Amino acid sequence: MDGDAHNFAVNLHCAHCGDALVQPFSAELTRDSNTTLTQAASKSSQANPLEFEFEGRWVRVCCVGCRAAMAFSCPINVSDVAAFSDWDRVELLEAAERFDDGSFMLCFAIDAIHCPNCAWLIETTLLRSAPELQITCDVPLRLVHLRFDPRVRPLSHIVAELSALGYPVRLVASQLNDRSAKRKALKELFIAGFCAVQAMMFAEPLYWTNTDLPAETAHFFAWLSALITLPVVGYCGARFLRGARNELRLFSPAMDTLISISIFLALIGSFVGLLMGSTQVYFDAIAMFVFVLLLGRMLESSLMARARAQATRLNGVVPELAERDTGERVAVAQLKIGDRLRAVMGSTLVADGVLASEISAFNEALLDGESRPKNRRRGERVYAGASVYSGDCVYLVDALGEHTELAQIARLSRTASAARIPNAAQEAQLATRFTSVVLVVAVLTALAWWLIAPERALAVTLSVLTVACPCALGLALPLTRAVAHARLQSMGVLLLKPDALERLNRVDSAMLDKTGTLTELMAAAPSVTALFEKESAALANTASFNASHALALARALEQGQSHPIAAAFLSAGQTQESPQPALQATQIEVLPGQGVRGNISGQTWTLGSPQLFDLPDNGDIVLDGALGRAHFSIDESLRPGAAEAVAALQTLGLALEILSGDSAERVERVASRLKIAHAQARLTPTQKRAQVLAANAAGHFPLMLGDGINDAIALASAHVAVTFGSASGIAHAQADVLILARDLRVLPEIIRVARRSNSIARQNLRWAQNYNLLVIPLAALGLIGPGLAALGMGLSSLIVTCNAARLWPWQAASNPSFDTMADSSRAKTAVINSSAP
Amino acid sequence: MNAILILIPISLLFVGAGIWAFFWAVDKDQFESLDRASLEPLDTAVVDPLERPRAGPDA
Repeated sequence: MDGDAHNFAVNLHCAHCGDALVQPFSAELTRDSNTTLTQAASKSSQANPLEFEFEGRWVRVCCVGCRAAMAFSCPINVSDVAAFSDWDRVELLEAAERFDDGSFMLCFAIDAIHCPNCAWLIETTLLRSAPELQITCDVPLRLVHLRFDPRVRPLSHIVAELSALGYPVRLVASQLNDRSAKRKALKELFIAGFCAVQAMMFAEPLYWTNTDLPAETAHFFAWLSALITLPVVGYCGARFLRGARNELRLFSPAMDTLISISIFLALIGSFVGLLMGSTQVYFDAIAMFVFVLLLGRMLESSLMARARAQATRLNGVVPELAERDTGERVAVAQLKIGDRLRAVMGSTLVADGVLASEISAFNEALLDGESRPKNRRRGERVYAGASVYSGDCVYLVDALGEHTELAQIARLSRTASAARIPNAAQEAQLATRFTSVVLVVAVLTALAWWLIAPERALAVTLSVLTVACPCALGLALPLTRAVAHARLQSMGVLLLKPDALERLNRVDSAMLDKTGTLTELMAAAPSVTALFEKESAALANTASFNASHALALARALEQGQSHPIAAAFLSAGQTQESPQPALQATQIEVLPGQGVRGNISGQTWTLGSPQLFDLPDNGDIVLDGALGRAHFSIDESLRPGAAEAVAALQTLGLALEILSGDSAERVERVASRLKIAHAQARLTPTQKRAQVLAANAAGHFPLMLGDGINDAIALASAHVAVTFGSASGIAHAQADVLILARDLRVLPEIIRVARRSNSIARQNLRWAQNYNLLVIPLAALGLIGPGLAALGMGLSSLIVTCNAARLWPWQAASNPSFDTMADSSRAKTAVINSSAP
Repeated sequence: MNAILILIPISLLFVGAGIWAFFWAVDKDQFESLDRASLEPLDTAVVDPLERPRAGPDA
């Protein structure tokens, strides 16, 4: 470690693009002045790939895209294709989409994609060596669709190249269904809009009143508008017909039923009129109507699809490949009970089993929320989803797939979430009632006018159906929702359930998990306090054994270790000016789950948990040697913005409570720092759930914010479940709301947006209601012609749209707290924003 | 009026051409990744990023 290496700590800007640097997970930080770029790339799990030596200086960049851009002139060192040979297995291709020419399409999640630079780099690099590849990068979703021919270029080469470039890949379920649906919707929207304009153009002469347009010409134009409307109904109308069929099958006629009836009644009526020589036709209104409806639906569905894709991308806790103790790699699907598997440090267990090796420590935070690793000895059970914390291990599989503890928790939370009554049902009921009323009114109108003036019956009935078209009602909720979704997305928040917004609005209390939610898991610098106990040590020596010396010793011992506590020590050294020269430890011996021992300058030092020295376990890490003993308290640091977020939530009138599985002392410390009165510690997942259920039973609408599998059951029972993008897959499955930004200040903002959007949605609904109540009787009395009815419908939907647009963050400037927040989480939200036109 | 009889079929042809062009573009993945479009000009020539003046205090 030379002095030069310390320079980078003060460089808070990317060396390539100048963007402010977001502190990366320092767990990945180990610094070595010898690390060259290619080495950093090939063992990116150990070295931080975002720091490297460049032209004799130590530099930092914001993302691998920028790093590779800086190094683009260097050849990419793909030395180790053999290590990726697993990617050439046939099983992988079974899930892929196969094309006639023998090529396959796979979908990869690449978490390192940060900006369009990365997409450019991936495409350019891959195409340079294999021009036949077809690559589609989706930057906001961080997905890459790759179409390749394994006979021309094996997948292992492609993956090796991507990894060397700094983009480790994960295989995820293809989003192709979404893609083809999106294409279909795009085409439908285009047809509807394009033809609507044409139909209006052809129908325009029919609206001229003071002209002597010859009857034949008018008729000709009417036929033209009919001709151009046919593709709209034929191509796009099927969607509404399908919806109507589904609604009728469930005996709950709603929007789609009414839309279908309006469209087809208007179409048939117009055609009948046309054949009978009338020019009272409504083809232009039909086309415009369909276009407006499709526009609203596309807006909403594209936003929902994005949110869903985000969720599936983050699923998949358990890896797909395992290693037998013979070293053979095997797909998890092919494992049998009784297999002996090996798991190396840092890897995740793929099945439940019994430990067959001596002793190892496991981090089971995903299962029980305990942030500390637990020791397991030979014969004890280990669980899928746990990660090996220290000491490689061998275990005997005794439960697989759906039978693992992990899968059972997941199933439990699925059932819990099924029990939740969605508000959407209420909304559907409203629409059903509205539709039924309109249909009855239309039938009555038709009968009445048939008796009074049969020749006007069709026109008046159509007026009723058109003017009462649930257009405003249909747009009122989806559009407000879509705009709110977009607004939240620009803040790095995704709503995963369609009714999340409505439920967020009713939230009156919040239950917060601690580890990983209010605090970041040991990723930040530990606060180091060294207490000197061995006063008996030679006084001459105490001078050299002070806090910074103790830290230097600890760092020397932890050098090269990869667990979170080591990372905390190593990153502590970066921020602290260390006058001590870097020390070198030799004969390092890892005591699995307990600590590490090594020889520094001829003295033996041991660093580890208090039990190692028969001390009471107070959560400290103890350094012990001949010179003295030091206690390091490893502190969790508060998530950025946590204090402000808590204050803002309290201002919004939410009752806050911490529910944690961690020790009482740690929970108390966080609660007092955040000024949260109610905090409960040492809760099991079921107890957490009981707390949430109790709040539900007391008539509250609790929001639950958590990130672990241990929170999943509680999340499923909460009125609204909020989790983080970095959380476990099962937590995602339960979440209504996903926060991608690291800053917690988005949480009060989410509630604010939800409340605002709800009040706007209610205004829109009220408008639609009053409008319909006013115009339907008028139309039934024959006072509003179909043309005027279509115009009124259009205006009404415009009003609703403009009202919904008020949710857009025009007024962000009036909200300073949001501005500063947006700035601090810029790097994260930029990922989302980059999709904005 | 005769002008209309010629112009309208022509406009209908244009409509058909427009629809065909849009469908073709959608099927050719033209609307798949809209984020990368701004970098397209860089694609033809390999720009040496090292010659770019670097921003930030580090530069």
